[in-house]
Amino acid sequence: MSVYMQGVVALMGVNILMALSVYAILSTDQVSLGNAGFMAIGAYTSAYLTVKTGLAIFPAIVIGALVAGVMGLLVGIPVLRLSGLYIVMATFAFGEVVRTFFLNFEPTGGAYGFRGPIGTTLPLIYGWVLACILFFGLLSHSRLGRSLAAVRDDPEVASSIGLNVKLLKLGAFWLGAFIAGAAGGLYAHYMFYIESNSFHILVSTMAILYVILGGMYTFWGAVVGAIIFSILPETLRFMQDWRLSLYGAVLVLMLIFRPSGIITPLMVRRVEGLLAGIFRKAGA
Amino acid sequence: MFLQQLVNGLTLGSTYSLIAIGFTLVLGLLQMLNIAHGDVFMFGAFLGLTFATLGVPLPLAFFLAMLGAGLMAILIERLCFRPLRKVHFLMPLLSTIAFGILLQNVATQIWGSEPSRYPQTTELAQYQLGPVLVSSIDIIIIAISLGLMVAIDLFVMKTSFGRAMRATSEKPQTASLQGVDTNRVIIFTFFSSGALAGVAGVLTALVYSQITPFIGIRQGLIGMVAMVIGGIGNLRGAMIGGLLIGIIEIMNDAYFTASYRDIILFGLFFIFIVFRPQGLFGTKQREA
Amino acid sequence: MKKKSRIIMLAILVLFVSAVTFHTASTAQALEGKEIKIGVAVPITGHGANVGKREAIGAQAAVDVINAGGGVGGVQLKLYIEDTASNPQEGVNAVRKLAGDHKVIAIVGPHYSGVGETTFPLGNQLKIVQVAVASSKPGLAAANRPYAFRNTLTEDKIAGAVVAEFKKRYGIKKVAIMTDIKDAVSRAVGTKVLPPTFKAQGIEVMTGDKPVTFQTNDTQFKAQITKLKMMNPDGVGLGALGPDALNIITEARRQGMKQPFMSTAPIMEGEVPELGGKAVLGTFSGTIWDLSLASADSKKFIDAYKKRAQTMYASKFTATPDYYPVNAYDAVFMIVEAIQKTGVTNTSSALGSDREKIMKYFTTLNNFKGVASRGFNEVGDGIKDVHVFEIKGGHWVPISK
Repeated sequence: MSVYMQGVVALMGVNILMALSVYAILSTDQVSLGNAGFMAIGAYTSAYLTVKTGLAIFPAIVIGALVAGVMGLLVGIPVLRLSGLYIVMATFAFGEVVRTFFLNFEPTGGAYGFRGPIGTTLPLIYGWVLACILFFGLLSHSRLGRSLAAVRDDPEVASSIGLNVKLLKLGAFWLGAFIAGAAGGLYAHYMFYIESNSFHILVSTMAILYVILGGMYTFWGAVVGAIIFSILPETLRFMQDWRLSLYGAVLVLMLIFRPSGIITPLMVRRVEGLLAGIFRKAGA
Repeated sequence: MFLQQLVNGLTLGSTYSLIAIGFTLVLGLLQMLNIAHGDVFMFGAFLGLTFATLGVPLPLAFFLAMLGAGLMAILIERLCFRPLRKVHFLMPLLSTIAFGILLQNVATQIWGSEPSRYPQTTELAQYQLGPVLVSSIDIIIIAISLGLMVAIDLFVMKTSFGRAMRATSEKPQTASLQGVDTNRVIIFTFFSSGALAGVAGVLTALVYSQITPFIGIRQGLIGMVAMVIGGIGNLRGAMIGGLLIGIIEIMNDAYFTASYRDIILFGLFFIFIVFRPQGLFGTKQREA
Repeated sequence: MKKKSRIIMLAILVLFVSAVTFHTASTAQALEGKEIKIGVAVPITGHGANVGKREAIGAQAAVDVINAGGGVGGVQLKLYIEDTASNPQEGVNAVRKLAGDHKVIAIVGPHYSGVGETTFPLGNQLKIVQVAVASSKPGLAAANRPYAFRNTLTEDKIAGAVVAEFKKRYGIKKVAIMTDIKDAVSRAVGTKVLPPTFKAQGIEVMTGDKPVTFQTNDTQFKAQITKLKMMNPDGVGLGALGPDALNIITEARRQGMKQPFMSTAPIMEGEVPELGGKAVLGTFSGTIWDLSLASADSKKFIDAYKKRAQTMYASKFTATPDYYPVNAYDAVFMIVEAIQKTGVTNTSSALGSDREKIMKYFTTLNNFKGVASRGFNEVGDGIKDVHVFEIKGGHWVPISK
């Protein structure tokens, strides 16, 4: 794989994780426009640990993700009382507050940024990606997964059959924040440098777009959406200075013509059925 | 100095109010957030610049920019809201974000990424009113903004079309049963929100600063904060919210440092959304 | 709807496939043919689009001149330009593409310290030289030895010269500082560079360590000017980019302030003299090159640039060169000199050692005869002359020595 493709694939892995972080929260019908904030927390925490205390990269990223997860709970609690658009705005405000905080926080560089984190490799990134895919795969076939789907589809019915809706929603927030924090840690150690601007609103926005365009009802949608729309700007390089305009246009058109996204639950079930059939034949 | 800074805050705040009103009109009507609103502001500013440099007299350039911005808002309604409204509330929001990216980059291609400036003068009449220094431009801004706000307020409250707008916003299903042409109301609302943003764009660029294709991002954000603090869906709330935000920003810069600005603004935003989503003047939201 | 969605799916599949094949194809092209490949990583889109395009034209102009003279040892130069989109992520992708796919021998770029922060360490990992065309954040090259070079002057070197002339002209004894706190370079100028420079020349800094502050691209400065006016300094030092400086000084005149302003290189752009009118007369700044400098080398550059600008990214924003394309132009010539003097072989098998030779040459290059560049100092920052300018009659005019 060429050096260039390695780079594209590496960033694509980070994007997949960010998309999954949005998906985790979205699966309980909460739309978070602030996951860049969780990403920033994970990034700065893990970078600080590896650069200033010499901690190894993997535990540093895990700690960063855990800290981000705690922030996820802190944000998720007041957000419980909100719905729809208000959750979008509250999480968006949170993301901006985090960004501004790091712009001014001297111990991690403030406006001058933070230099030094290194060590992300493709296996490390895709180790996390595979672990998350495995997790979501198991989750979707589990009782917990069905409970989450119930919370999303009809929270009133869900609580009437005994599900603790609030706990599930908070858990989803924690999970989303954790994954975003891990993405942040991986990102920081890949880019060698982070600054508050690395986590601006467009990062959160693109994460949501990956999920919506990929198909928001299954986690595979998040994965596929992130893959396709990470590669798209690179393929449009030949358009030179019209590149980003075309990118925006493609996004707008996709939303109009295929708002349900690329991957639908029906598709996933069909593929699973097909695979199950193949394995059964192989076993027989 | 305090009084002077207060006047500074009011002048700045009036442009924020114009943007906030545009947000709240659409949000109140459709329960949808138009993230590209800030970019409509930018577009209006650039239209005004283009006409002014072509030699069009300023008041006409102003009016044409207003018209163009209104039309751009209608385009956004067509592409981002109409086809996506019924799918999921998130879709139009995302589409407007994507449209914003598109608009910013097209503007970069047309007008360049470096700042452009209106042909202007620095010879302005300055009036000393007691301890406060006010320039003729400050007066123009406050006059135009206030005038437009009063006009919109009167229109929505007193005219039959305004009643139609309020009916559509409060009870959309029954409104069409009552014979209101909801489509026309929606188009008109978008047009007004865009026109107001366009006015704010021209005022800001004309008086204060240079414009780049990326100024809409921050202006839109601040308009959103002003809208929330004032009260979503509440016109007068948006006006007062805008003025308040302008004053807060100026006072922060005068007595503290610009570094704290965004933490204060977005911190307030978060606190209001979570603990007082109806803002200062709004009514408690109905379930989405 | 079903048919439409199938078409969309097909389109995406095509794009995906073209992505993979597109890169494979370009790699195949790059390995054949006898040419010397130089990479350019500058912003072609995003907020740096205009200046990035000018830099690309500057680099291409150098290549035009060299190729017209027979190339290097009879071999023609070829430029590969990749867009950094004014942001670090794309910058990293651009450098990877140039180094890995196009296999260039050295890279001219990036633009922006923020992008350099991530591409410089990458350059060290890939062992390829980058010569930044715009980056004045203190310490950036120093932190990224040995492959990072910046063909720019750090702001402290410019500040010293400008302050000296400023003090001389206006008899400045006490000064107030106003600074951007968001843009890293402006913030460094306002908080780290100007205060010690003023103090070293015996000027009192009235704002101490609490300068008057604003954020990049603010739409108004009333609060700040009101505050500055009350302090009544002899002059004002700015840590700001050109467009902001323009608005700040305009607002100051509106509120009745008559004091002169000074700053460093960033305010030499944004057409401050042309757009500022009477308000900005007498403002001081400094940089490494300006259109008004009339040396023979400058003329050659200007001619080559203007010719190329007619056919490459032609627009009114790229027609006239400023000091950024000069940095790119000189950088290409520096790379060529390195190739000539270190026995670079330009064979694909020796790419690694060729790139290393260029790095070694730059490390000791300090007597280069460029339009505005003399080489690099011990930490990889540019050695250039500083010219102090003041605004007079709608232009930046050099202060005669």
